[in-house]
Amino acid sequence: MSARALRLSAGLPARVALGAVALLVALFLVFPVVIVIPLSFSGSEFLSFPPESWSLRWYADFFTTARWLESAWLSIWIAVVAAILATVLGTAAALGLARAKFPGRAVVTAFLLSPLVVPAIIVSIGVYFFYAPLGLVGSPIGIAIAHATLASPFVLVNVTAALAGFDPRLEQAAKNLGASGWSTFRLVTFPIIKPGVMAGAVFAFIASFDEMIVALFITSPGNVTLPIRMWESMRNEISPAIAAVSTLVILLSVSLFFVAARIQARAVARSGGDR
Amino acid sequence: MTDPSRLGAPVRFEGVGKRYGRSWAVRGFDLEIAAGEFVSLLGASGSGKTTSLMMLAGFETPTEGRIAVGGRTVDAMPPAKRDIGMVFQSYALFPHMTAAENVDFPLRMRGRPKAEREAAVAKMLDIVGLAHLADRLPSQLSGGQQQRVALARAIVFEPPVLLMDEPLGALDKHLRATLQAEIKRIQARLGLTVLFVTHDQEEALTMSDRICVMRDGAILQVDAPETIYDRPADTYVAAFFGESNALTAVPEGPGAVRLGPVVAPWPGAGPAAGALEIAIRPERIAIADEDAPVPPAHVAVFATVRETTFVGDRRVYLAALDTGEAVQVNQPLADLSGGHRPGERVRLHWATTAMRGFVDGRAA
Repeated sequence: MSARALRLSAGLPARVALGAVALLVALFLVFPVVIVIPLSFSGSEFLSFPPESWSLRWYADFFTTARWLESAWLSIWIAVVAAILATVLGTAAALGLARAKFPGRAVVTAFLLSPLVVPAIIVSIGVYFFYAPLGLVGSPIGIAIAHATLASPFVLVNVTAALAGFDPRLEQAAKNLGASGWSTFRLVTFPIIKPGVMAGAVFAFIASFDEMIVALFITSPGNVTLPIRMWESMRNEISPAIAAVSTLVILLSVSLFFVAARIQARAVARSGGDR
Repeated sequence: MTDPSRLGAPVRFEGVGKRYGRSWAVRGFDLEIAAGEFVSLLGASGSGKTTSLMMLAGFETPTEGRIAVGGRTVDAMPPAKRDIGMVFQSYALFPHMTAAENVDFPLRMRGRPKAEREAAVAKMLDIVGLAHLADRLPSQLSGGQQQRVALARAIVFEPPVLLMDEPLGALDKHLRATLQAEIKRIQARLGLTVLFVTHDQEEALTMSDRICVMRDGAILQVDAPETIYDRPADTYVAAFFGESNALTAVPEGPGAVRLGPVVAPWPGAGPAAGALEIAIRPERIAIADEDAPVPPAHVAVFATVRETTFVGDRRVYLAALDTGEAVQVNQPLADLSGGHRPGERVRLHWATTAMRGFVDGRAA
C-alpha cells in the first residue's frame, strides 16, 4: 500500500534516481563475489584482472590436487555432521520454547541465540581451552560439534518462524484421534514445519561450511578445512586456483539456497498458500 | 451397549471444577448424559462450556471432581487413550493430508489392517457425501466440505462419544441448517452420544435431546428444549431463548397476583411480600378489539398500540399497558386481513398458564 502510494506520488526523475541508487547498492554488494568468477577461468599463472587468456586449468587443478579435494571433503563432512546436530538441537529447542511456559523463557532464548552475537574469536578461545583437556583439538568431530553450536541459532530462528504459523490444535486433534506424542510429531507437526527445518538445516550447513576462525583454532595439520586451505593458499601462492575454488563454493551455496527456496515454495503450494 | 450397532456410551461429570490461577472457569459441574443422547452445552463465551468439553477430551485436567465414560473414570487417561471423537471449532484438519488421509488417520493410529481401513474410509466419505473429493487437500475444499471431513474423521473409528466445539460457527446460515440436519441424521443412525458446544440457542433447540445452559462456569438449567423454552429456571435462561415480556406483579392474597389494574390467579405460592416478575412469551399473547370477548381462564388487560411491524408470517405489535409497561405481541397470520393500527385501543389476553413467575431472577 505504501509502496503503491510512493509509486503514484513520485515522478519519473525520482523513480530513475531511486533505481540508480538501488542498482549501485546491489553492485556494491555483489561485485566482490562476482569478480572471482571471471578470474577463475584465467589461463595465466597469476591473478590478474582482466585475465589475459581463458582456460579451465584451475578447475582441473582443483579436481586433481589431493590437498584441495581432501579439504573439500573434510569441510563437507564437517558441515553435514554440524548441520544434522544443529538441526536436531535447534528444532528441539524451538519446539520447547514454543510450547513450554516457564519463567525466564526470554533469557533462555537469548542464551540459545548468543552464538550469533558473541565474537567468533571469543568462542574460538573458549572452545580451544574446553577441547584441550578432552583431546578434541584437531579432530574433525570436534570441529563439527563446535560448528553445530554456532549453527544451531539459524535452525532455532527458522523453526520458530515455522511454528508461529502452526496451529497447535492440529496436535490436539492428532492426540484425540489416538496418536502418541511421537506419532503426532512425526506425522503432523514435522511435515508441516518441515520447510522451516530444512531451511534451517541449509543455513546451518552453509554456516559451518564457510566457518574459519573456530576451525583455525582447533585444526591440525592433517585436518585442514576448505576455508583454511583457501586462506593458506591465498597467503602463500596467490594462484588463480583460489578463484576456481571460490567459484565452486559460491555455486554450492547458491544451489543450496535455491533448494531451500524450492522446499518452501512447494510447502506453500501444498497447503494452499493460506497457512 | 446391548445393540452392537449403537455406539454410544454414557458420560458422567461429577462435581467437576477447573481453576486457572485464582478464578474458576468451571465449578460444581454435574451432568449425566445417557448413551446415545445429544446434549448441548449452551452459553456465552467465558461460560465454561468449552473448558468442560476439553476436560472430557483430556486436554484440560479437572482441578476437582471426576469424569466417567461408559462407567470408567477417564481422569488419568491421556487424550489418545480416551477413544472420544472430536470435531474442533476450526476443524483442525491436517493440511498436508488429503480428505481420505485425514479420515484414515485415526484408523492408522489404531493399527487396523489396510484393507479394513480403506473400506471404512470409503464408507465414511460416502456417508458424508464426499466420496468424489477423497483426494483433495483441505485447502481445496469449501468450509462445509471441510466440516464434513472433520466429522467423518471424528466418527470413522466408531467412538462411543462425539464432542463438537461450535462445529458450524464458521458457516453461513443455509449451510448450517443443512449440516445440522445431517449431523442429527448420522448421530441417530449410529446411536452416538454427543456433547455439542454452541452459543447459538436456535441450534441448541433444534438439535438437542437436552440442553445444558451455562453461565460463569456453572450450570443454570439442564432440560429438554421444550422445557427450557417453556419453563426457564431463571430470567437469564428465559432471555437467552427467544423473546419474553417482563411485567411486574404484586401478590394479592393467596393464589392471586395483581398486574396493574387486573387481578390474575396465581397457582404458585408467590413471594410473601415484594414484587414478582411475570414473563410471558410474545406469541402467547392474543391481541383483540377493545370490546372482544375474553376466553375463559385468560387474563385480559387494556393497552394502546404503539407500533406495528409486518414480518411475513406474523405481525409484531408493541403496545403500552395503562401502567406504562411495554408489551410485545407476536400475532401469527393465517391471512393478512385485520390488524391494529398505532394509537388504537386494544385488549390483550393470555392464558393464565402462559405466565411464568420469577422472584429475584429465579423461577417461582
